[in-house]
Amino acid sequence: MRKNPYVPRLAKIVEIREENYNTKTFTFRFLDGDGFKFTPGEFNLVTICGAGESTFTVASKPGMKDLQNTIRKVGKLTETLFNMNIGDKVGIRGPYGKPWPLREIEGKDIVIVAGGIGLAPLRPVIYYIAMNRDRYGHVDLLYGARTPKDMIYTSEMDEWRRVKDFNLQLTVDYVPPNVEWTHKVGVVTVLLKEIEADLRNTVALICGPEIMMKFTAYQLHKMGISDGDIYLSMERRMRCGIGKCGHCQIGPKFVCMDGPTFSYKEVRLLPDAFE
Amino acid sequence: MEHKGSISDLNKLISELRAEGYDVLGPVDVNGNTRFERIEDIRDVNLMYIRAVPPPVKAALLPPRERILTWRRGEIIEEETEKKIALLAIHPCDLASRDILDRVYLREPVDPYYESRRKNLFLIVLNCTRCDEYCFCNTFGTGPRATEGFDIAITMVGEKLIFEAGSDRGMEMIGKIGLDIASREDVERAREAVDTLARTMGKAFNIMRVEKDMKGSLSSSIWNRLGERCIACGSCSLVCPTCFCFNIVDGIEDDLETRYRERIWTSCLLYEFSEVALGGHFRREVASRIRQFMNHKLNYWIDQFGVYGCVGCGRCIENCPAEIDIRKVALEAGGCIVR
Repeated sequence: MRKNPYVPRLAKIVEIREENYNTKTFTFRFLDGDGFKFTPGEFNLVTICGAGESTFTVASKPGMKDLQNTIRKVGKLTETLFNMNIGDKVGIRGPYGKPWPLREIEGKDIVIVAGGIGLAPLRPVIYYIAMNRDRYGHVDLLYGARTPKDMIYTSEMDEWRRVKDFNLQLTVDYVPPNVEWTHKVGVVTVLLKEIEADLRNTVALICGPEIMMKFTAYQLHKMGISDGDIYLSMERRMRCGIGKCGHCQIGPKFVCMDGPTFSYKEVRLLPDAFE
Repeated sequence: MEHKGSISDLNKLISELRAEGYDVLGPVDVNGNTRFERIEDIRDVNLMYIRAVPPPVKAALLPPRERILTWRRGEIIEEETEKKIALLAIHPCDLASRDILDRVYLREPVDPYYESRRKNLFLIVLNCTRCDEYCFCNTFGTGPRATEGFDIAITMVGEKLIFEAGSDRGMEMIGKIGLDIASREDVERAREAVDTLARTMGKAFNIMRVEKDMKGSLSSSIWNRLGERCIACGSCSLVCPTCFCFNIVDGIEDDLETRYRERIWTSCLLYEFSEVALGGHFRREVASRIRQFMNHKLNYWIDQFGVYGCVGCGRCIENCPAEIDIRKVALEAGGCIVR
């Protein structure tokens, strides 16, 4: 038989970092000794034998040998994963999918808008830009979460703020009593007026809950960014990741093959693209 | 060059195929249904059947439930699928479904389970000389005659069978059972029997425009009306010879140690199909699910793979408890008022 794309590569957990009360970043090291080459925006599948397999976008820093996934506890597989420890083994398939168009958008200003755990597929983008700073213009990172304790990657934000021409703006929907919060309050679109990028030469990259992406893309469109310059990372449940199982279809698109990153122009009018 | 034979020659064919290691399956009546089962004698076979469920070609290439991986003592074992299967008397619509499934499963990355089953599949088509009210293969040109892609095609005219080889191994097999060459008159009669059926069937709708009609009716009220009738049981997908979607499910064997992964047929009509994490759902309404099913067959398939995802077998119509008819949907999308 030819190389079987359903067979995962074995890896072990080498680091678990708590991002918040329901989200952890897992670092996986491959038992075959090889690394995990990827391009920001691609996804992988994590298998726990007998418990199932789920899809996550790659959250690693570009160039690192290990694979990182930032995972929120939402179901059976993620719950099993949260009970695992350093040294425990999982299976990994991928990377799959269409990445963010980082090559194509060189020379442009970039607006990154993320909601909640939607910052995960954009983390590699932030580091990629920081490592190749002269290839891109001004960067705005607008990040929103439900409450301050729902934010992820807060331990890395000081480092991001030190990147040249990098405007980091934070907001939360709600600040619980007795919680200190010095940033904005409101849904992530309240941050759009903080954009410093030159909108005539800007590309937007968005990931978050689907309602947030829908409104953010719509607002950016109204601000003058063309639909072809607004990119989204779409979420669909996938069983195979390789264009066979059919679950992730939106109209004629397979999210696993044609996405998960799409331009707003590609998906805006597709049936059932947004809930 | 066609050959002629009789029903008893099919027994020789079955024996020869079995001697070469093929598991020979044919249409057998079981509890009032026709399904493809292992056969040893042609007397067990119902050659007058109209359609079998589950669709035999899809079931042979992509079994309804198939184990793909096993974990035993920390090792991953790939399931081997080297079994040789011969399907006797599939209809042309089911043959056409293989070429449609190929486009999904043989595109990169190639599905190794499908590929090895396909390599080991011997196909004997029985061209159609009869149909029922659900058949509409003639609309797509996927029947009633198979023109290519088979190993052997057979047409029945009375007691006579006309054999046509469609591959080298089909030719070899015809040689082995020792058939006479058919007269021009017999070949002509067989051709006419199938042509007559095609004329009788006519065309249910125009395939030159149905894709455009479907694209133009995505926001039509058709889908709400259908959504109210459809009971979202998924029967249409499960009997469809081109529906390719599957679910993946893990399990554990009785030894409580060996774990496995299976893929199982599923349907976009089912609620679970389009669920995402935390209760999110992109086709919560039945209307959007029936719109997905119908548009996938008659619209998106063209964008995705360049062919329609329907072969006109009529199974989804016959088996729909809500009497939803894809032919009427196609006509309504084109603006016809259909009762």
